[in-house]
Amino acid sequence: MLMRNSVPTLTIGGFLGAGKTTLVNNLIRQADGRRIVVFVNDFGAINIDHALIETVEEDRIALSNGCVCCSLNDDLVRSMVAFCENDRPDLFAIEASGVADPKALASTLQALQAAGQAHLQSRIYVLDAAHFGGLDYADTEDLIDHAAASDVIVMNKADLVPDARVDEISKLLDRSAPGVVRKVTAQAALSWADAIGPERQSPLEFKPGSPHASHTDFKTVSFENIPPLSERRLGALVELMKETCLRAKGFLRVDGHDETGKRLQLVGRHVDIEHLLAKDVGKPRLVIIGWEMALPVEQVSTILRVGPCPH
Amino acid sequence: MSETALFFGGEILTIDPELPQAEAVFIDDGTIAFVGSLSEAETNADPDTQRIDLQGSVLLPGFIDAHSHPLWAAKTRGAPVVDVRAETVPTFDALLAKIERRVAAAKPGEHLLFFGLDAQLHEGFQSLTRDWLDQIAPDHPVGVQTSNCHALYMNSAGFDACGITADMPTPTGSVIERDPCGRPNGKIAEAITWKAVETFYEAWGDDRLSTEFKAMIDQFISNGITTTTEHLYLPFYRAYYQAALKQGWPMPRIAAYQQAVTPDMAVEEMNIGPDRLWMAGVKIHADGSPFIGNIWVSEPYLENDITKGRMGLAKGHTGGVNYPAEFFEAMVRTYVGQGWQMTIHTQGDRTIDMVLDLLEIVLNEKPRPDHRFRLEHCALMRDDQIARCMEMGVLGSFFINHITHWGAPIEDVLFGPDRAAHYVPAGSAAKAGMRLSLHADTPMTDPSCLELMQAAMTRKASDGRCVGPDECMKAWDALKAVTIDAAYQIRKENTLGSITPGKHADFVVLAENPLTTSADRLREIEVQQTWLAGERVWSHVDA
Repeated sequence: MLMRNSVPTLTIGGFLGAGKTTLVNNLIRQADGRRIVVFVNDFGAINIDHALIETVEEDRIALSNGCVCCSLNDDLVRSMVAFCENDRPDLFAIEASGVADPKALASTLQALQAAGQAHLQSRIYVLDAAHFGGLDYADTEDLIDHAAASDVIVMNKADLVPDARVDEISKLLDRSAPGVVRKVTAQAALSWADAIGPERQSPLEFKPGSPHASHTDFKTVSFENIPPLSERRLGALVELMKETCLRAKGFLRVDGHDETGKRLQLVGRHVDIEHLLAKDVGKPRLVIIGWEMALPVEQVSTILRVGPCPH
Repeated sequence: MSETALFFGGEILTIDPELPQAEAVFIDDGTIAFVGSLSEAETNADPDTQRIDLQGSVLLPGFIDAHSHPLWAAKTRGAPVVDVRAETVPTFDALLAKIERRVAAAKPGEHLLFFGLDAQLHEGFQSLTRDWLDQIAPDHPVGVQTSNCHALYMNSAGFDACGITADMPTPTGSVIERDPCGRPNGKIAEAITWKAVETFYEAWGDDRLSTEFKAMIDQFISNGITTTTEHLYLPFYRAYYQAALKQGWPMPRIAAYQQAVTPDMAVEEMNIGPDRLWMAGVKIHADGSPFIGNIWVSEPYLENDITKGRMGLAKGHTGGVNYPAEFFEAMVRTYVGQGWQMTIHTQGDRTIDMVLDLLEIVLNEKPRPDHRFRLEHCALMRDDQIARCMEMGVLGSFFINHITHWGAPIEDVLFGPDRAAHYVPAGSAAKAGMRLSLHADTPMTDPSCLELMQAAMTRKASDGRCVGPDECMKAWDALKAVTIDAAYQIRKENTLGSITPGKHADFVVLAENPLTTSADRLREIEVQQTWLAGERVWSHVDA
């Protein structure tokens, strides 16, 4: 299944009142020709610019810029599949219930990912900086656990608290949600690029002029002197890279095949493996490129049994 | 008048070789009365019969998890225990931060317990010490339990609360790590761990446990599990089960296996029927957990930063057993002699050799047909041991979720690819014809028999690799291992485990047929309804 037809999907989590709906509205305003289908938990609460509204149905609002707002119900999977099959959008955004565990949503998305219909692009967690710590101990901890299980934390309402408080919360998240990107906002004003992260599929045809993620969010890691791999390790490597890397290229040797090697290329979720004579393979090596925070350097090292090269 | 119901309109997988598929099932007063064609089933029905149109869904016998701890899981993982498993709290430092925040929020004297420290999965893991925990929590009793449940780290207030002192001798079968002066230095393991955590549970009182037990029951039932076991049963547990039944909670049927730590324990007689709660046998720990290094293996653990640094294992470490051989033998002889079914926790291959050797002697002296002696978890069971089990009539219950949760460290850190390829060898045991069972060992992993099937059929670790493709089970074998063969292992194959006339009307309704669903998707199959003793006790519509 080519990644090309799979729709990138954002999940947007956060406690009640953190600013999820505001964030959704901001994304719609930045659509700029891209068609976004949004699923929101509290359909009544979404406050869309009236000028944008084209039609309103029981569970669906169509907007003049091509975006659609749907109410989030049991049939999420079915609704998403219907959109994919009939009128594929450029992006899905799913607002997780105010208190639900964002991990549960991720498992729903696995089915769609397996079917090649949609894939998880980024898990966004909106955190209310002004009220952080105001909940009881258990709820605050839930919030921290959910933030730790996301890809981007939006520290919203930062304009309502002193900088020192923002620093304090940042320090806490440094320890408890290590490796998660953080964006400090007021009014959930997250840029499109920050929301979407770098593209995980290469040929998604965004309209010209759409903002792309800056190159600094990417990371390139190389491995050399890789010992010959068993078929099983090779399989695990391919599966892992398909899930986590944007691009990869390498030459690898395989156990028990001294005369031959493999050239491996990954673009998006598509992998090409070519069999070559060993003399054409040269020294086994692998370069992986991906979103800095998602690149599984440790796991790849484990599979290859060799660490990454120093820069 | 008795309550009757008629099931039709979907696939019915009976797991009964006499009639593997049927059109309809008729139940009367909690018992399966008829299985066969719809027209014949209709002749049993009357106007009051509840008609259950499956609408294309699939009816199966209720799932059976043959090794679990529902009440103990409520104690171990239910609030106010703080979940610090690696899937929730990603790093060791994040775990420390969580402990610090909890201590800051504690009431004076409050007992604080954390569950899920993991030497293999917590990045940056360091062994906790008593002094370190004293710095974090000088006043409150604090315990940090490992995710495999076998070890506990405590601060001084924790040791005081549990009454574990420098001059206390280490009980047989337990571990208390000490400094050169004999003072416990933070870590305890095995039997004394489970005694120590009870101190914390008791401090929190019964209301808490009751709420958490109900939540745990719901987890089993919403996953279609209608029968399970309480391995490590302790006599005072009984009151909680009885309270649950009295309040009409849909508690799965429970086969209790009482925990023995000495040869002179009185095994409780218990039989609350029909088949709701009974004493099934005795459980003994022959060894410990592969993840803390206290299982007995013929080839040493691998040597690397994690086994040396985090786990503290010496070069060439081959572990050991929990009890001195004579003590263990005395326990086995006592309870086998009393006629109890035995379930022995065995992880390492040398442990399995030891247990099989002993059992062979005991059975030669006094043959006992149909003993159904069980080995639990069976991490490093060898091929020759599977063959020996088959000859002796010994059964394996396999903790297959080790592969899904810890597959990567098992292969890369603990035992290497050769041993990982046959780790928890359920596939080989099935090929040899063993009536095996699969289990989640809740609280160690979450209760779900579909997840067990998926784990056994794919052996896919969390990083996507397949650990030991030769050990993958076939769908039919995996399904039997969570239904009829699990029933066999708890000696209830005549009343549970298949849709057969005369058996209890325990069912699960699934959105898809697990025999034809892709193995990678089994855990995503929707559990739509659960029926226990002829009553619908869970439905996805009301959830």
